[in-house]
Amino acid sequence: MENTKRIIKYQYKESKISMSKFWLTMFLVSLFLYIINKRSGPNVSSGIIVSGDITSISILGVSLFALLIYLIIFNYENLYKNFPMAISFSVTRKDFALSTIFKGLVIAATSGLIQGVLLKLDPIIVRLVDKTPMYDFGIFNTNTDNIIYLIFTLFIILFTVSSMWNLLASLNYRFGYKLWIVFLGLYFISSFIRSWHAGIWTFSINILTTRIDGVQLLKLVLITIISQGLAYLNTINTNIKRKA
Amino acid sequence: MIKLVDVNKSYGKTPVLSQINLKLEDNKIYGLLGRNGVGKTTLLNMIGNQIKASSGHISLDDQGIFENSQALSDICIVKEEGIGVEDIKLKEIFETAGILYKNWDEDYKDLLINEFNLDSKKKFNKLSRGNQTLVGLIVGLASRARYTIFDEPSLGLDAAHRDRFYSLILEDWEKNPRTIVISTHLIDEVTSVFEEVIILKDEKVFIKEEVASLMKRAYYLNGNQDTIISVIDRDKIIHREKFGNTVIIALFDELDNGTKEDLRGKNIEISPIPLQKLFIYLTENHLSKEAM
Repeated sequence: MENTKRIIKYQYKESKISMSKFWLTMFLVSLFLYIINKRSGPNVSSGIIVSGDITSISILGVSLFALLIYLIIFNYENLYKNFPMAISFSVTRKDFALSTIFKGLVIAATSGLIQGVLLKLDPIIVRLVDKTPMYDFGIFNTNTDNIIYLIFTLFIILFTVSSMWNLLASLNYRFGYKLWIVFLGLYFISSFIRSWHAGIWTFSINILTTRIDGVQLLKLVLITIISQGLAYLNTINTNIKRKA
Repeated sequence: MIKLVDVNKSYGKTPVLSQINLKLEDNKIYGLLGRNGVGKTTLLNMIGNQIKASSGHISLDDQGIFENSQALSDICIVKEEGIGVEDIKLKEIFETAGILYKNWDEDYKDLLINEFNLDSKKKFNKLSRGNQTLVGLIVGLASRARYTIFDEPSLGLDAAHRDRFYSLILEDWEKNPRTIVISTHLIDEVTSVFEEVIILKDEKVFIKEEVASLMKRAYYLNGNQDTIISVIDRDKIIHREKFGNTVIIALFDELDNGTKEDLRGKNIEISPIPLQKLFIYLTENHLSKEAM
């Protein structure tokens, strides 16, 4: 148990560093967007823009999309940097795989909390630059939903997405370019079956756009369990590569 | 004690190690020797949980090592190929080691960094080969792990740094006894550090013996060939060099005092064989284990 605690301590430290860098960058990006919007006048907007009868924008919501990309980097770094270091320093693969789940939970919870608060503050910031705030994000409405619901939704979605990237990163680390060959092959085969293509696309979009109710929650939890389970099994059977 | 019982390792259909049976006792310094490709690194990586044995059992205090957190917390392996990550600052490497090794000695790490004049702010991949090796040595020494394994710890090091490293190992081992396994090709330099040597040959443990006892069985005999042959057991000759009527014979056999006196009386010069030479003769020689 002592050793499991040590790897969790290491992963926690790594999460803190990684998160600090990300949120500092996002703070600067948001500040930049704020200044651009303030100076650009009423006809030009920067950020997430929804055009319609009235153009609405979100400035702090930009970090939500950046988060989804950040989770790819975060999970790849976990496998390509933290995994070889941990195994080289006498950590078991099982402990590492467990600590990865813990790390994913910490990142999803912290980011969900920060992003939730930011999205509640977003309309105030947008009004300060004399523009119309965007409320409807598909998965929630920042005007009508309370902050707890926002944070919970963000946590669930971020952890699900992180789990899927974790699986991809662990498979990629173990199988290298062969994984992409398999993916290309599957893509080629599936191109003959139109419903497959459409199905995969709809499935991915649904994760990020569907409001969480009981059924959607069950779907996301299932995806998370399957992804984490497969990533765990893959990681405990992976040897480290010479260099990364 | 680390114990290997009937351990085998193959890569695909190619066997690397077969039927390895070995015991590594507490608080001893072992030298692991063997020709290139004989499986030294593979053996050390199996002990250090880096790779899994194809079959057999490796245990520490009767607990299986593979994927066992408890057992692994007592093992530190410093690999020749590094830690699998190169684009990383030394500071981060040491901080990580400090978190993950339970007996990590931060003060000793600082002392070693000063001793070897390393800059912790530098990235690992910006260091010379020798300095990269030093980083591994510092991790190994400061880990204070009960079993510390160094795979080729002298790669890229200049003579002064190698000498300092060997001294540090002995100094530290006196204060903090532990088991140290060193795999190296520069055998003569480390002979005084080793307490026991393990020689791998033909996928197996060929010899595992205390250095002192091994050296007692290894002699050069210099003189007339017929005279030497009349006294010694021919089957124990592991090397022979002829210069006219004189021959230098490397003998791997115990000689009692009577025989030594007899040989000296017949103008045969007797001298010890350095460990490196002995290793070369044994690993290239036809001498079978049964003959020993």
